Amino acid sequence: MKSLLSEVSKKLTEDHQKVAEAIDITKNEDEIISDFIKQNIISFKVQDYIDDQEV
Amino acid sequence: MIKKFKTINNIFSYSLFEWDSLNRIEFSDKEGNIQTRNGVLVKNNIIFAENGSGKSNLINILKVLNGNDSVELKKHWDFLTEDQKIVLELNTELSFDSQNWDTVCGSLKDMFIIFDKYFTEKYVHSVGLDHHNTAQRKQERGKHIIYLGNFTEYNQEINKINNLKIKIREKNNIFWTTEQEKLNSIIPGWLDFVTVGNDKEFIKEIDGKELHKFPKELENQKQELEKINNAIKNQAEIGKLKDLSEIKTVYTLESKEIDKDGNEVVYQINPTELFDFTVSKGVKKTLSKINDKKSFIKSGLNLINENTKNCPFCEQKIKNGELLPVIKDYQSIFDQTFLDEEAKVNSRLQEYKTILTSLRDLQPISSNDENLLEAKKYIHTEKTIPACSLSKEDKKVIIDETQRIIDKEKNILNPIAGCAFKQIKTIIAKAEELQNSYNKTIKEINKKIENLIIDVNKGNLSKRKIEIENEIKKFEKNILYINYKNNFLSYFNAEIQFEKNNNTINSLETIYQKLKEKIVEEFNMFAKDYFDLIKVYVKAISPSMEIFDVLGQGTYLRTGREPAQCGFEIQYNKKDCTSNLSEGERQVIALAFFFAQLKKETNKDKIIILDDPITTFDAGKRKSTAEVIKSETQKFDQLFVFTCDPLFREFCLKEIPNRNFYYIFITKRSSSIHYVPKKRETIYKSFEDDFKNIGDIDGSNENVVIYGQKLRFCLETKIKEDYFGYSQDNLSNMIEQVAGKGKQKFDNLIDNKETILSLYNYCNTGGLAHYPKDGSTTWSELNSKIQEYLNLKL
Repeated sequence: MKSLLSEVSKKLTEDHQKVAEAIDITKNEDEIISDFIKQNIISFKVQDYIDDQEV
Repeated sequence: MIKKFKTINNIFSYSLFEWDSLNRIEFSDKEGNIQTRNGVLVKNNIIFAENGSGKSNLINILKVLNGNDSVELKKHWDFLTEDQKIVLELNTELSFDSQNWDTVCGSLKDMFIIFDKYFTEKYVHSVGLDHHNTAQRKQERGKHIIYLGNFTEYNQEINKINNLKIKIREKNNIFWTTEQEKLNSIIPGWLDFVTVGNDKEFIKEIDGKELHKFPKELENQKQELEKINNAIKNQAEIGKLKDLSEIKTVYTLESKEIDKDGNEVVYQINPTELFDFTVSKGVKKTLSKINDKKSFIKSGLNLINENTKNCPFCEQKIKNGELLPVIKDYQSIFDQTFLDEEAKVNSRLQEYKTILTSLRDLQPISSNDENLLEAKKYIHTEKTIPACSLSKEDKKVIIDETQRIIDKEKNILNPIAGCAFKQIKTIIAKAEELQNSYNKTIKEINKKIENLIIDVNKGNLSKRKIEIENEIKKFEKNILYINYKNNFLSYFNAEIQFEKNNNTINSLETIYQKLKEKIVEEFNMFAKDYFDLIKVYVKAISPSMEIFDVLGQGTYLRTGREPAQCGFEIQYNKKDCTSNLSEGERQVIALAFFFAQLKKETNKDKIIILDDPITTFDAGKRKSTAEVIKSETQKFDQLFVFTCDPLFREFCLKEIPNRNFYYIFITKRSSSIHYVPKKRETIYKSFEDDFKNIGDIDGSNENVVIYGQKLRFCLETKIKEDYFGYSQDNLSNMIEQVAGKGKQKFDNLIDNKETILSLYNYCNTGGLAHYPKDGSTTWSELNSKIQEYLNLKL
């Protein structure tokens, strides 16, 4: 069966398309979130600053 | 493909069923060799069973294997403490028992497509779509013609995007809340996130090296605030404050005098010259001698000039004018000019002494201390009035120099050595510096007092207080920003990340909305195609039935957490008839829907199960149903048709090729599946064969039950089907069958009416039909009854 997402993705703007293309619809939500994090689409960690140097 | 239900132990009515022990058949081939076969299931399988024999139980087992967790595989009522077991023979053997029972449900998930009475109940109901109330609609869920079809997968896809969005939003909110709480633990109550946001660029640029000066400034502002508060309380006292006085001493060595022409002339006091002022030794000695006769001598000297020949004092001749220069010296001493010079020296010495005295006496103005103390109640100043006095060493120099002046004054013509003019000039510079510093402080304090008085007069104290409070906050904020700069920068990074995550969430929302639009579009396309198929199958099953119109577009209801479900109204002559369908019509539509599903099914490896799909059908529909089953199931892996209807059984046996026939019957206290070879497909004939060989059968209580039921079945079914054409599809066939039987047969039936009814009553009232296992009916008695039946030669 074709993926609805792949059909829809073609009609999205570039920003939305980037997100859509990062979704492997065969994976579960947590796995997709991991993929997003790996691809730097989302992040739930903040970079700490020490002595004015970004680490 | 299922080859055998090899073992079913302790499930529903199947207490102990072993396929091989019941279906192993030995027969002689053409050469006379003994062959065996165990009647394995084939592609198409027709299974006949009377009510209560275990047909539905077997279908329930298949449903559980298919993943239906709403069905419970209950234990046989006699073996509630015993283990359960299912062994299926497919290409490999699948065995489930108490050790792995949890895997039963869904072990062959979605391998079966099942039509039974629940299918009709689930999908075809008489409640239309006009119930828009959400709660009621949920209650009525499924009470329309519904298909889920492949949209289940689409639904999973769209749900996944929605859940993904929700999960990321939850995580992002937790992330952001955590970061805010981190910063919140640092910032004081008067500082809010909006202010922090506004100060973002300032915080980024702020230099930590400036930190050292802020605490001092903050302390000053706090003290300033304290003074202002005090001034607000005691405004009447402010007007009484006195200005502090400056020191205005001038140490200039420059002075002025009027010359003989009357002009003002500026001159510099030169102590060295003053101290050196003197005359020659001879003159000094003479002056000493005549000290008390100066007037007399001065008068005499005034008489002497170039032409004077004799001395006016001794009358002696002045020799050759040789003494004239000496006389002129004396004249000059007593001249007014000398006197003036002497007076000038004295005067300048006096000026110099005055300067030295001022230097010596340099000190703060004592009244300033008291005035400052009073002012400090209302003004904050770090300033203290400087000491403003010279060192002991400097004072010693001044005193020594002053003594020199005194000494000089005593004898003006006596030169004084050791003038400290150079040092005095340095001390004057120091004194001026001290005085300037002193006066500067005084001016600053006076300015504060002046401003305070202005603020009081103009009523500005409260405004000033707010300004100071703001200043204090500003300093406190700056200190906080510097001390926690890294934390603030981390927070700003988190803010950026939060916004970035939100953008992704917004993208997912957009994707989600697009998917919804797409799924409805796909659904509408699919629905039209689907319901065209339903119409085709309605026509095929019930050619005489009016074709119902499926109204308009299907609706894709996607509210809350509901799965995608699609309902249609059914119209006949443009009137909604979904609330007026007969049971037969409902079943036709349900079957048509089922066959449409089969048509759409792309996985042909599935096994089709039909459980009495014709219960409310007339003979014509039963026949057409068998025909549609034949045409629409052959591409699938396997077919099972279960029925308790003899007529439908006959149609299926005739219509469906490559089929085996089975009969579910209770034997040995358990429902069991019996393969019926084609030669013995009339079941009662196979039973009569068993009766003829009854001498080989063990006369157990269980066999009393089994053979008692077989006897009842033979009497009832044989007479119904064989004599009256019960299994025929139409009246002409029935009449033909009755006629074909012949009058003599019916005479025999009528002649033995009493015996037949007696035997039938024996089977029913003797408890045989209801599983007697208590031995109340004996094997020998049953044998005699069976012999009576055989003797009837029906």
